[in-house]
Amino acid sequence: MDPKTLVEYIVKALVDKPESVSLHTVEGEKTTIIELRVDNDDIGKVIGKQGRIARSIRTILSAVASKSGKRINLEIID
Amino acid sequence: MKVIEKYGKTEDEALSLALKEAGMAREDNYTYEVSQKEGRSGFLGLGGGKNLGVKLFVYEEEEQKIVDKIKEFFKVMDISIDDVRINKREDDRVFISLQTPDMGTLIGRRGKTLESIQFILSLIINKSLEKNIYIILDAGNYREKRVKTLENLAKNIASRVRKYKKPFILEPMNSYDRRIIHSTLQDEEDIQTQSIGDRVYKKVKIMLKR
Repeated sequence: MDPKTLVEYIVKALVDKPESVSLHTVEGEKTTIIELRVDNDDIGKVIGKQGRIARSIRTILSAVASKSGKRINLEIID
Repeated sequence: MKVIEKYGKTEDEALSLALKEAGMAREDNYTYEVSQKEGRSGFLGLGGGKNLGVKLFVYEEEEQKIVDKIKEFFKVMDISIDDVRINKREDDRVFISLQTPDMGTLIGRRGKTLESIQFILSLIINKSLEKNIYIILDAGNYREKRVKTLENLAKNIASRVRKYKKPFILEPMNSYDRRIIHSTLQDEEDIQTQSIGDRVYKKVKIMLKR
């Protein structure tokens, strides 16, 4: 499983402007950082009330990451 | 969603009868399960032998789309799912059951992963169907077991509150779990419950009635 593909799939399904979604991966030794950028109007759609959407995406990521033994950090950049 | 149950001597015969009633063909897209391997063999032995039951699940177009979306999601997530089935439909609430060899990953600690997947899937499905549907996911019989666990927890804590005459605050829970705690204890005459906090995950306080 490629975590970037998973994040891309989820985020593009949630936002109004999927064409503005961009992802950048930084591979570390133990951690993979995924930087996510979306259109300004879509920020709320990936964060959610009290951060609920972002938290859920992170939970799903950590579930799939635990199989590979690497941590995944999702950073939403605005 | 329609569920058609038919009986026959063999699985094949029962399935054919069910498909006929649904007006469907073998090669159509459908889900079915063997509901009864051995039933009663008819009144006074009459009509005996026709004792294998098959349940055919016929989804509406919208429901088929939901099932397809869920399958797609798990494919991207790389979790192999043996079966996705709509179990029940109550207006805008759609109950889905999943079968997977990878139960641990899917459910996660205290159901956290399952809950997150359910939330994200609901958003994805609602956005693509332009509707407001609640997707309720279950894996194996996890939810059923979880309900029993929470009911036991509620009763145990209630006895403790009675014994020590002190309120007890449970750890933060989602609304679904909290509702089980509240409803388990609502008929206890000397106990009352209350959700406290203002986050998504509130805590339930169990205390003596004044």
